Amino acid sequence: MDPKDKRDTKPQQKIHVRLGTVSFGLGYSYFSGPYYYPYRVFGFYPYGVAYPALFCDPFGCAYPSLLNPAYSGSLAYAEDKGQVKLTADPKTAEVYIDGGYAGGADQLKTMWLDSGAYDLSLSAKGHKAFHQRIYILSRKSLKVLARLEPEEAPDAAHEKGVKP
Amino acid sequence: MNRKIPLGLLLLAAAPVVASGPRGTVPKASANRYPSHAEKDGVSVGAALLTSDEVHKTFVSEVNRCCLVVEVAFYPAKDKPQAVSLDDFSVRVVGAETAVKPSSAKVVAASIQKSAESQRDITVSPSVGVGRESGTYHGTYTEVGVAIGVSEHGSHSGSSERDRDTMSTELSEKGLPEGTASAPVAGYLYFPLTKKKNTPLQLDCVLNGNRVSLTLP
Repeated sequence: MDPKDKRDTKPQQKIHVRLGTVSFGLGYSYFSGPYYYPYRVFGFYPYGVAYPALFCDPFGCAYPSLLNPAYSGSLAYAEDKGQVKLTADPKTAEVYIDGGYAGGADQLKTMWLDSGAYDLSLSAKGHKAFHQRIYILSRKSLKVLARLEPEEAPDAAHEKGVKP
Repeated sequence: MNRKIPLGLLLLAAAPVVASGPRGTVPKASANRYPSHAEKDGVSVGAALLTSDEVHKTFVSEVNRCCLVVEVAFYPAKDKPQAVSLDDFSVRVVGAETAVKPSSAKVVAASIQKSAESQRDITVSPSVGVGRESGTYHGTYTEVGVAIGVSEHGSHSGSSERDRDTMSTELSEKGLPEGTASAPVAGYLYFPLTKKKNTPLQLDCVLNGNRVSLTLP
């Protein structure tokens, strides 16, 4: 075997060194008495069995309307998902993913989607709809700036069309 | 039975197939809006080599890992549809004899995935702590540490099978649409090459059986 060929077949190894989180801590703890049990037995822990049915957070579920079915996927964080950082103007715009209502733009500034291609659209009253095809890769972040242009008022459009 | 209903259903069923096909990019107003352009028998072609920065902004997939990206636009003559095929294109270093054909979206995606799989990240996290305890045992303490983490093979973005499918979809949808074009079409071509500085490239394409060469600055 030609030594050159041997060199070419060797898999490429790339190592990146990067600085992680730099932390500085200052703490105080006080202990007094014969027994110390830091864990409360009773209390409210919302992430229980009944959580999905009773609670709704901005990442886990959305409030659909009769006309627009809710987006069926989860927008919550998972290690193998990709992040979408959405900036919308106006902030009151409704966000749709693949045609399903996902929530309000002000609640979806950060969302997590499985790796894949999606049709993202935003709509708001008095504004033109915004559409963008987005591609999500695991562990990667995508910034989306959605500026919805105001719709021209019918009167203004009419005035533009009339020549003196 | 009303014939309109089955026809409507057929159109509805066909719509996603049409919509999910390659779309390319929006062609500019004319071929001469591209840095390199030429015309042959009424057919115009424009091309632009994307810089590394432009590739990074245009694609989520890390195409810079493997390929050069050239945006190509075709402007067929009026009433004369033009066949567009990846096989009609090749890139060579000006003056060189060997040329490289564009790779398909699937091949490029696989190449990026392979590159991502072999990449490992080492994270260094220094930490400093100061504390004070009181009670039976009391006093102050300080602590200094460094945590070093080495990521596993395949934990990098773009390394999973699903990521490969996504990259393939992105590259395919943004790629130059193949087929017969009766209106201007544009899209990207991916050449498995690395460009050296100050080495101009030449894009060769076949228009109606005639070879046309464009220099890519």
